[in-house]
Amino acid sequence: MTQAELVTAIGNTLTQMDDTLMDPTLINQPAKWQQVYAMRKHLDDQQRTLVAATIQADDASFQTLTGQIQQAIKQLQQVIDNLKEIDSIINTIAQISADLDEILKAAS
Amino acid sequence: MTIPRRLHIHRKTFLSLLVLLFLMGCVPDQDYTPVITQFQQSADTLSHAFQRLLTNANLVEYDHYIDSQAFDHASLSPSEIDSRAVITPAELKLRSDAIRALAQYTSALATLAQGKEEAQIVADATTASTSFSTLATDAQTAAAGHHLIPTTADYAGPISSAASAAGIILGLIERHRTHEEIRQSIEKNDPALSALFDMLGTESQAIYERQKSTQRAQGVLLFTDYNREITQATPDKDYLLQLSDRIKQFRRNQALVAQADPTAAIAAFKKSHDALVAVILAPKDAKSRTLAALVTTVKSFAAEVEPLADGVQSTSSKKN
Repeated sequence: MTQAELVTAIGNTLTQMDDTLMDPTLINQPAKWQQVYAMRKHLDDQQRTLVAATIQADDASFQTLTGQIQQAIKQLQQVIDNLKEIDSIINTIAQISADLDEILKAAS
Repeated sequence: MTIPRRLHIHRKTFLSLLVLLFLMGCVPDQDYTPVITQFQQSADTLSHAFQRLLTNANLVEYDHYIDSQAFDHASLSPSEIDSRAVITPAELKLRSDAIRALAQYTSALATLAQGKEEAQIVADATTASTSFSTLATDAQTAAAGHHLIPTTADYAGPISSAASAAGIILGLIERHRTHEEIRQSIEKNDPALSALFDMLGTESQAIYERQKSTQRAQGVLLFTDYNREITQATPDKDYLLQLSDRIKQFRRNQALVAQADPTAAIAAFKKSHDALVAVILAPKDAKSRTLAALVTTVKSFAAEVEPLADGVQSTSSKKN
């Protein structure tokens, strides 16, 4: 995966989160909504930082981390439409965010 | 004027005409003119749309930050807003000028292939040559100076290679060298421009992704405000109407942003450039075939660039 592909993959994840956040069912659960919204803000900041980061895309750890992110995005796609699985959605997004943090920490 | 001097001028004009006829490969000018005109218009439109997209890159980040802070009832300060910038004016200019130089260079090749008057061919070649020369200097300055996008430093290499390659080709045209010399030079040097096309395409994808993310974030805030307001004991009808108007505008903008992805247009620009080079390099018996391919690729280029220009222009002038 390249840096540009990662930016796009995070963009796609943000789109899925936005659909969830715009759902009145979740809006009417303020605590859960706030939790997902806080994660959306963090992931959005990470995407902005990623656009302006110097990444060694051929680095082995970058490839490992992006592999994990791709895996987590696949898991997210399976549960994102089911608001009954909101805790699972939150955990998966947290995992994507944590892997992204690792990538950004290694970037200059 | 002396007779030998007049003969010299006639011989030079005759040779130039011969060069043009060779380059055209006996394909009539009327076959070239519409496709070349369409290509030049599309390249010009892309150049303007791309510049607008880059100008918009910081504005969408500022607006997004202000909206988020207001939604969270958090403080706002000019310095914090400014810190959200993703591109400096010099970085913006460098990328915008790179697209323009590529458009001018390809237009110069188009004028050559079309068999325009010699003065026009030389004038177009000189314009492109000057643009690339300035661009190469600006790239060095930008790489050494303050920049927000790390890849700015990486531009110096592809721009330098592209400027050298284009400079060699355009120099031969300016100096009225033979058809074979120009043809061989294009064949040898033109591939050096690919890296610059690719770099612009990849980078613009990332900038576009940010535009999409920030635009969608506005939707989240609008829908949340609306759905929260209707749960109040006495919803504020005026506020709900304001929100519903903004939601309608948001949805219209969403459709426009969807067509503001520059990546496909830049890829189509490169394909048109490659098809034009193929026409110039093709032997006489393949001119008609390569011209037909050029017509197809230029049509695709126009089809990509027109909605892009509409999308970019509309999204940069409208706000929810």
